[in-house]
Amino acid sequence: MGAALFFAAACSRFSAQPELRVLVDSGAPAADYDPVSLKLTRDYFFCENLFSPLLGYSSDSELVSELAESFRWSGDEAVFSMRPGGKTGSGAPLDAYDAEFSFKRAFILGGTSYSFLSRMLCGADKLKSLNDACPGLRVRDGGRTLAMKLGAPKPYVFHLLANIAYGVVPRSSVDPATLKIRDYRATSGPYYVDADLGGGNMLLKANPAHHRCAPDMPRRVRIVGSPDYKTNDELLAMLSSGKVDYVMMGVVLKPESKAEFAARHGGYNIHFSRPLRMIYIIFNESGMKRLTREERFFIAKKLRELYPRRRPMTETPDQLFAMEGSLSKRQLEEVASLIKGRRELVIKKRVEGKRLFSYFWLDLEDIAKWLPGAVYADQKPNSERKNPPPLDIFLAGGDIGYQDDVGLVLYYLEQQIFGLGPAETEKWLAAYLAEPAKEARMELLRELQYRTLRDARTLPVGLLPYASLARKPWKFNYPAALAGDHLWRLRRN
Amino acid sequence: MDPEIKESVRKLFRKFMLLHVVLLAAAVGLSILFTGYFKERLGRQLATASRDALLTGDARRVINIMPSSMSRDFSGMSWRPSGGEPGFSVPSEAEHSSLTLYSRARVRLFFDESGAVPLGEMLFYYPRWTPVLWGVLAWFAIFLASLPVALRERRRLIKDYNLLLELRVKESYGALAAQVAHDIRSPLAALDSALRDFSDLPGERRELARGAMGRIGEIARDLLDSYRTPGQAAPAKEEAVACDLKALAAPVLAEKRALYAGRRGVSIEFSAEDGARAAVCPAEFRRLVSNLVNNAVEAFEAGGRVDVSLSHTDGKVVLTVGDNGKGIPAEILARLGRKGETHGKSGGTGLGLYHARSSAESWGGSLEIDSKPGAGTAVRVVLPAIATAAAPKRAVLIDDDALVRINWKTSARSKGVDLAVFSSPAEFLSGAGGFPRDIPVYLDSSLGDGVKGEDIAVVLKEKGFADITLETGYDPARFAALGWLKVSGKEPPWA
Repeated sequence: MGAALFFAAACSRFSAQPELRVLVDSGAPAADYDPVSLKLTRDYFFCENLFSPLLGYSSDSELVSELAESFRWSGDEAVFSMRPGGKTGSGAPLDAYDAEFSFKRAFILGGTSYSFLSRMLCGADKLKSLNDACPGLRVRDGGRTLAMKLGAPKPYVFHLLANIAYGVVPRSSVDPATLKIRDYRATSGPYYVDADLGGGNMLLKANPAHHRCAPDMPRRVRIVGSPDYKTNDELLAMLSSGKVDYVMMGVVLKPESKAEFAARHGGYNIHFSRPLRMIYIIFNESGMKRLTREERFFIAKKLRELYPRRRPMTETPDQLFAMEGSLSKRQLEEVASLIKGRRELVIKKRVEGKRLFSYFWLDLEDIAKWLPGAVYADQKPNSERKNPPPLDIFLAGGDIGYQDDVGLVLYYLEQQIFGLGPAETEKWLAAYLAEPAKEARMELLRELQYRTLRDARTLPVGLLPYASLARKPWKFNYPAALAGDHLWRLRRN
Repeated sequence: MDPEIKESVRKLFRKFMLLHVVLLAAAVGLSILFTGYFKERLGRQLATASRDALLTGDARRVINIMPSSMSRDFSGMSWRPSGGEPGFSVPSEAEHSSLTLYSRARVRLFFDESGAVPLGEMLFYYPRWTPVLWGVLAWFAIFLASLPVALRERRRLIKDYNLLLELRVKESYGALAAQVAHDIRSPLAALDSALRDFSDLPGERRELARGAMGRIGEIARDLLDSYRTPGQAAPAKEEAVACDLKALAAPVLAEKRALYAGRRGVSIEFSAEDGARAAVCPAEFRRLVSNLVNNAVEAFEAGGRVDVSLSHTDGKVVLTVGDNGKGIPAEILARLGRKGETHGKSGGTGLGLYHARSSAESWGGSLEIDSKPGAGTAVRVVLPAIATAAAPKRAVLIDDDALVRINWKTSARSKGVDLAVFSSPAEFLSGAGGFPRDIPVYLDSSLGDGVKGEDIAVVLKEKGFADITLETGYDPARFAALGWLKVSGKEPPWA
C-alpha cells in the first residue's frame, strides 16, 4: 500500500514531463480495441497498455504478479489475491469482482481460445450472459480473492492467464447490455484513454494508482494515427521529421529498415526482440488437393530462398516451433531433407495466393520463372474480383514468443495452421489439456507439428526479430523474449 | 650460539608463528566467506531456474530436477513458501539438517518484479566444516611455501649479528688506537724537546731522529684513520702542495737505512737532483717512498741493493725505486698495482703498490713497473714537475723547529739566498727595525706555547711588513679570512 501511494505521488509529481508521440498505422477509434478480439499487432499494442492481466512477465521474461498480488494453488483451486488499493484510470476500485466479470465477459464474447477454460470453470454449456452461473469462479474475502476451481492443479494456467487476452476489463468500463467497452478511462492497465481525438489520434495518460506507474516512464502518450497507406520510408520520415517519437513493432515490420534508420540518424534508441516473428506459408484445402507434396515443398523452398535476400536478419528454421513441441532429431532431419528437395521444378498450374504479393512484390519476376501461374489475390485487379476462386496458399506472420505451451497452441489452433477441422481441433485440444505433465503435452504437440510439416501443410519461410524505435532520451527496458510495446517499461535516460 | 642471537632468533620465530596464526585465521575466514558467497550465487541460480515451476504449482518438477541440479554443490534444499503453505525438501530429511554440521544459503523469491510480495524462501544446505578444511589446507600450503623464507631470514639474522660483532670489535680497536695515538703524543713532544738540547749530536743523526719522530706521529694518525668508528667524520684529505721531493724522501730513506741496518746484505742508496719539485701530499709521498722501499727489501730472498733516485727533466719528476732482486714474472706484473695484488712477500696485502699507484694518479702522475725475472725490478713514479720559485735575495724565517730552520738555511745557502732565521717572533721583533718592510717573511703556523703564526702575521702586517707567508701543513682554506696572507708548505720555496 505504501509503495502504491509512493508511486502515485511520484507519478503526480512528474505529470508535467513531455508527452511521447507514438505512430500507429490505423485510423481506428479506441472502441475498436478489446482484449477479447485480438488480431493485429496494434490490437495487442493498445490492449497491453490499456489493460493488465492478473499475471504478467518481468523484463527478464519471468512470470510475475500483475493485478493479482500473489497466486497459488490451494488443492484444485488457483487462488489469486488482488492488489490492495488498485484502481482504474477513472479512479474506480479494482477488485476480484472485476476479474470475475472480465473472465465471464471473455467466455461470452470470446472465441475458441477461451472455450476450454470456460468449460473447465463454467461447465460444458457456453455462457450466454453475465447472469449465467459459473461455479468454478468464486470471489472471496469481500473482493480480495478470486478462486478458480479447475479440478486439479494445472501449472500452465498461470502462464495462460498472463496473456493479454485475459487482460482484466473492469465492470465500470463496460456497457452491461452489450458488454462492449464504453469507457476507456476506466481501464485496468498502466494507461487510460484521456481523449479520443478521431482519425486514430488519441491521448493516453498514465494511471497513477497502477502498480506499474513509475516517475520516469512516459506520463502522457499521444497516439498519432495514420489511416492512409504509407510506405516504410514515409512512416520512418514521420520520426525523422519530428512528428512522432516512437515507432512500434507493428509499424514498419522489417527490422532492417529500423536498424538502418537508427544507424543513419543519431538520437534514437532501438529495441530488438529475439527472433520471434515466424513467416509461414499455409496450403489451404484447395492447395493441398491441387499441388503435389513435392510442389508444395518446392514452393516453400523457393520462398525460403527469396525472403532472406532482402532481409539479412532473417533466419530460415526447418520447423515452426523450435522450443515448445520441437521435433526430434530424426524428424527434423527428415523435414529438412524434404524442404531442400532434390530437383528444380516449373509449376505451371494456376496457384491462387494471398499475401504472396505483400511479402514478395519485389520478387515477382523471379517467382514467375518457377511459378508462372501464380495469381496474387491481394494485388489489383485480382483483389477486386467479386467471386474469387478458393485460395491455394496464403502467407502469414505470427508471434512464437509464448512463454507457455498452451497459449502457443491456442493461438496457432486459431490460425488453423495444422489443418484440423473444428471437431478435430476440439478433440485434439481436449486430449492435450487433459495431460497434466508438460512432457506428455510436448509429445502431442511435436507429433502435430511433425505431421503438419511432413505433409507440407504449413511450412516456415523465415524467422526474424521485432524492432521498435524511440527518440532519445526514451530508453527501452523491454523483455527480449516477448513481443510487445509495453510503453510503461520505457524510461527517460 | 650467543644468548643475544638466540633471543633474536626466538623473536623471529615468535613473529613467524604470529604471522601464521593470522594467516590461518584469514585463510579459514576467507574460505568460509567465499564459499558462502558462491554457494549463495549458485543457490540463486537454482532458485531462479525453479521459480517458474514453484509459481505454477509444479513442485514435482522441482523435486525431480533438483538432485541432479544440486550435484555435489549442496547436500540438500528445502522450499518454504510464505503464508504458511506446506513446503518440501530434497531429500526429504534435508530441512532437518543439523546447523552444527551444515550451513545454509538462503534465497528469497518474490511474486512481483519489484520484490515486494514474497513467494517464499529456498534454503540450500552444504557442509559447514568443508570450507574450514579447505582454509586450513590453503594455510598449510602457504606455511610450507614460507618455511624456506623463514630459514633464510634466520640465516641472515645470524650473519648480520656476526657482522655487528665484528663492528664492535673494530670499534674497540679504534678506541684502543685513539688511546695509543693520544698517549704517544706526550712522549714524542718530550723527545722533541729533549732533542733541541742535544746540540752536540751530529746534525745528520739529529735529523734522523726528528724524521723518525715525525713518522711515528704520522703512523699514530694513520692508526686513528684506520680504526675510525663508522659514521665518524673522516679527517679532511690532505691537500697536495708544492714540495721538494728530495727533502721529503731523504728522512724516509735515512729511517729505512736505520731500519734495515741489521739486515745482512741489504743496502739502500739514494741519489737526487736538486729542484725536483712536484705537488704532492707530503705524508702520502713519504708513505709511498716507505712502501716502495719496504717492497723492494722484503722481496729479497737474501741480501740485495735498493737504489732510490730522484730526477727531473722535460717537466716531469721521476722517483725510481729499483732493486736487484728476483724480479717479477710477466703474468703477475700485469696485475700488480691493483688492490689486493701482491708478489714475493709472504702475508702481503697488495695495498702498498695500490696506494702508490692511486696516490701518483691523484697527483696527476703515473706509476710504472719494469721487471726482469732474475735481474730485478724498477718502480717509477712519474709526476708533473713544478718550476722552482725564483729565490729572493733576502728572506726571514720564524720557526720554533730547529730542524726546519737548518733545512731552510741549507736550502737558502745553496740558492744564494740570505736567510735570517729566528726561533720565536719576539726574537725577530726585537731586531725587526733592521729589515726592509718588503722583505719576504716566512712564519711557522704553530710557533710553540700556543702562539699561532697567523696572529703574529697580523702583528707584522701592522708593523708594515707586506710579503708574509705562512708555512703550514694545514688546509689553506683555514686562513682564507686573511686574504693578504700567503700560504705554503713546510718546504723552502726556492728548493
